[in-house]
Amino acid sequence: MMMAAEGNTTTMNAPKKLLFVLRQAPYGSTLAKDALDAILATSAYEQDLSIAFIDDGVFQLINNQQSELIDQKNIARILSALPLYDITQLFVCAASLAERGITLGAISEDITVLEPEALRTLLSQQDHLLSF
Amino acid sequence: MKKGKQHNTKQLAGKNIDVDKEGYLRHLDDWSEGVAECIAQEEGIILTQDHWAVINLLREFYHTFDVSPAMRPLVKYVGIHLGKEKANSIYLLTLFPPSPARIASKIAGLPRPANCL
Repeated sequence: MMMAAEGNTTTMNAPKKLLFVLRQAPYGSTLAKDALDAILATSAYEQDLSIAFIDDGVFQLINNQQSELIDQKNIARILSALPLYDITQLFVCAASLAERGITLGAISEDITVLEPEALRTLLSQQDHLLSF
Repeated sequence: MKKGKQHNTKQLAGKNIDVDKEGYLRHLDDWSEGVAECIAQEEGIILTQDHWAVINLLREFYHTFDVSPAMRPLVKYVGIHLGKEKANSIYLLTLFPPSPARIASKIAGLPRPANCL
């Protein structure tokens, strides 16, 4: 896996800044679940890990997902476990929320809302971007 | 009964139960305390009250978050619910050797923690 190879060349005292960019709605494909699997696995390497929800990715944050009706894992529920994996840097694009009419009241995660300009800055500060 | 290539069944607590090739239950609903005791026995573990506390907590974790925890989140969760003195890997390793997150998930009837390396 890419992360493992990366770990071999990284010195222990210099964690990389990794940003997972999630752009897909939760259940139309397996990408949202795949991204979460990658995120949880990556957390074991103790890097400087953050997540940005952009475009349709903001739909992953909506609480009250009834995924059991389509026999799928509940993405929102898995997201709520992130603090236990020491993943606390969560960001969401303000413009993506507004375009889709999603208010913060519909989101249960403890998350920082960023305007597109601040989001661009966040992206430019990373060592690696992993886009799903 | 369905028969697929990777479908193994196993006699656990007097019932035929679907398991994967590593012995994890395929269906959450097949689990019972008797099944847990059988799986534990296969792992060379005799379940005590301390084991049950962790097993029940693991099941609660899975029902809350839809995933089986890896080691670090498990330790944290144990700390929150069972007390700080139990929130360390040595304690869990003593109960569920040699790999607490994997072995305890198996006994608790949950899927293998996918992110457990």
